[in-house]
Amino acid sequence: MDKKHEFLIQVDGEKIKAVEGQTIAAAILSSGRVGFRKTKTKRMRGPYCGMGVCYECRMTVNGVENLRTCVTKAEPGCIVETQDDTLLLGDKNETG
Amino acid sequence: MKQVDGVIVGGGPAGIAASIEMTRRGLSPVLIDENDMLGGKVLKEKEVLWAHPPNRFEYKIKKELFDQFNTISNKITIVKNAMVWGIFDGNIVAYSSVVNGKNISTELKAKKIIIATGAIERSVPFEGWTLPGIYTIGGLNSLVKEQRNFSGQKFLIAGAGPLLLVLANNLIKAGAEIEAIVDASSFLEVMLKSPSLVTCKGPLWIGFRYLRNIRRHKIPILRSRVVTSASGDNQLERVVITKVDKNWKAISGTEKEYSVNRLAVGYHLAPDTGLTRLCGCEHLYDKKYGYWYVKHDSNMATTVPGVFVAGDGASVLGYPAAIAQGRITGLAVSRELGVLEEEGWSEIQDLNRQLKKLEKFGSALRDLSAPRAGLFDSITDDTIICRCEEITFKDIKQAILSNNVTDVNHLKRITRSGMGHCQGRYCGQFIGKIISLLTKTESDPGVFTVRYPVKPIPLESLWDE
Repeated sequence: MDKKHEFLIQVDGEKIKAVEGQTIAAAILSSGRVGFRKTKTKRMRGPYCGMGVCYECRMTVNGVENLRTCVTKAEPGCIVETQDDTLLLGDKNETG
Repeated sequence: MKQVDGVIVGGGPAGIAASIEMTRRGLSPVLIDENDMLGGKVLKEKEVLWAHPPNRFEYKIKKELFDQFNTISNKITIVKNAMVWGIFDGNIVAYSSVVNGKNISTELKAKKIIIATGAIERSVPFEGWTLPGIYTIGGLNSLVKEQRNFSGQKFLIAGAGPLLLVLANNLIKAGAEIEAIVDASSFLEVMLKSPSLVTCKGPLWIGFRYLRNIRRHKIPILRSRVVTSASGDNQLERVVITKVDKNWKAISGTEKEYSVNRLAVGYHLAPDTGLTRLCGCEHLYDKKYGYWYVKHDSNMATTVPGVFVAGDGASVLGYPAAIAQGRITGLAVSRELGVLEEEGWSEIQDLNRQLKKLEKFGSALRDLSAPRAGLFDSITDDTIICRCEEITFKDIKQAILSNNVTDVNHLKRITRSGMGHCQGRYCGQFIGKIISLLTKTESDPGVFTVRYPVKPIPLESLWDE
């Protein structure tokens, strides 16, 4: 492993390690986390197809929503956030 | 709109091979790929991979292809990180990409279009299959090449076919812990297929090496068994494995629970027909294996003039065949554009002969790994069928039986199944099968109609400045 290519990215406020050329999904999975987003019925989902087809690994990256983290490269300092689809339902689910 | 000789969609083995042949005849195609690296799922141009370099057979093929490609790559236009979202009138290709931090859509007018978008892994739903920690075989195989830390992660590999062995070996190399490999096909079946398998020595030899490595690491291979359910609190914790009959129907009373937190499961591959269906190419349904594929001739031409296919997107035969098909396509396109020399014609025939051999091997593998009807018997009422819209088998069953549904598009309108982000790429694989099983009909329930955009794109990319 080559130390000099390592850098940090921020996932839901937590700093995790990533490597140059690595996708955001692979970096997050390396940190031990598998749940990437919350569906409208409050269930967690994580990477499934690993090749940009299923959209299960979509997250908000640097403010851009719905990016497939399995085909998006990690960049130093990028800010990744979980998407919570329960919030899309409006009033009914304002639990915060 | 810019006019070009050809647009090749997909920079995997087939797309690369097609671009080489076209460029050798003086054409300058545009090669578009969704990823940041060419080579597709198998032959990535740069291995990000530290843990495991490709095996020798793969390395040789890859080196040969990229050596040829590197001599012509400056003569073509390569567009990476771009998603083709539509093809219009069989000659206009629209793709979305990020330029200067903004999503934009670009249209190209192409004399010829080559669709080389590869395959999608085949899934059959089971209770709990949407839990985080569960992947497709190919999906985990891609991710594992980039993942660095596997501590606290215990894997189970299930499904059917050679991809299970490939994944197991990559996980072993990466240092991950594997509980077991669970294959639905029986040992006897594998033996009966061996005469067809020995026709392709390269891949067969790799298979033996993989098996030996698996044995050395004392990982059990359990045959005639499938995953019937998975459970856990917001992520995978337990998997139930059940013995099956020859139709892969679970035998009750043979369930066994495994405590694992990672599972990869898949039943071989099917061509991704999204773009070819959008183009209006004629497709055929393979009854035996249960999937749709695009109709093409020996020049890889579809029924829409000017639109060609190549690689696993045409027929799932693996990368050596994808390269051969890519070359055929490149040659055939050159011929239609009037730039193919005489010898090129016989090259097409030679390549077709090579393909015949690979087809025999490929269909033997498909026999062992394509999903069988018995798997559907393990689906419970609570099993999610459409992952994106979270529609359960119970919802689907009610909709089908109370509305006399016989067609997948009718079902889609009633339930929203297939309307989510993946655009029916997963539930679309088996929803037709579910309709036939529930309505006890043999007639063809059709295939989801594809609409623009073929994959979701940000609305801003369609804004005209």
